[in-house]
Amino acid sequence: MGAPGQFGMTNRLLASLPLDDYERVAPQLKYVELPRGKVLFELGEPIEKVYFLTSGVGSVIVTTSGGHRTEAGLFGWDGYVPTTAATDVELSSYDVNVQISGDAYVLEYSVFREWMETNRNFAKIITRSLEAFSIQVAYTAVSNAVHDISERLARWLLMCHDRVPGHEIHITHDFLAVMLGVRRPSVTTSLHVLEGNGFIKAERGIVTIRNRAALEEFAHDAYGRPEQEYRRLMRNLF
Amino acid sequence: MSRYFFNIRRSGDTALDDEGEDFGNLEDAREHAVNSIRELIAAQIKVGAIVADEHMDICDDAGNTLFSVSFHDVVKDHLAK
Repeated sequence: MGAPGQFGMTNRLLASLPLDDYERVAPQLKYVELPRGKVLFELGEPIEKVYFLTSGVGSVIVTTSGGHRTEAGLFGWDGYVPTTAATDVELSSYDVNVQISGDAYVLEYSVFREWMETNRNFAKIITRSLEAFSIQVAYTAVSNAVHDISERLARWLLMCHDRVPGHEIHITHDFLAVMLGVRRPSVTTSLHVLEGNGFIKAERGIVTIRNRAALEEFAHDAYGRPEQEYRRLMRNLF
Repeated sequence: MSRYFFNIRRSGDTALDDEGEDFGNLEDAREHAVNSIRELIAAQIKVGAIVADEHMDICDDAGNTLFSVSFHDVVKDHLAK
């Protein structure tokens, strides 16, 4: 099955292509569902497909040789994965997993490369997305260095809320601990803090955003700038 | 492997761990509790917050408290005599 008309396309990159280009790429896109926990890429393994998420959230995960494991960046309808594919390198530089189930349109890697080589509009959107992702990762690095766990949790929840339909985020404390690179009781405590302030409701396996504006205020400079940069990079493309 | 739950209690208010985590024995669960408390205390000290008289209650899946660890005791263990 090919992709829908561009009007119905919810991946921001594909939706931003000029219509002629979109209509040529659409028949080459294949729809897939992405269940939670699905491994999309593994470090050092060949890239066979490139995913454009239309819902759900995926994570770029880094595991050190000592076994420390944490999230470096996340993506959803705003991007494509793996970012490595833009650089004509055929092996994945990271592990990439689905954290919140969703769906995507997929291009074969060879087809993706052909589009990169032959279509400037496609290449422009992909490189803009690569830059947007680099900005996000840079801000995550800063946040890990300077913000406390509750602020980082608020940032992470806001980033997920941006990428899921509705207000429920299906995530366990165990997953959140890996995402934030902390022990699980720190997640329990921080969720309790956010819940005590009325920003969220935390139930087993589900975090519901109750007051987004207040959560953003709580996160203050931990959230917002990369999102602003994304909007800037994706404006007036053609 | 058994499942242990790490609830955090502070003057009547409890942050409940409703997921729990598996450990091979009680000693491993205790080590995890102490390491987690160190992380929580470090975060409080870093932002200049007072380390309150909190406790972590480690419970089994029937809800029985197996043991408790005091945050203040963990801090004291890190002070030179």
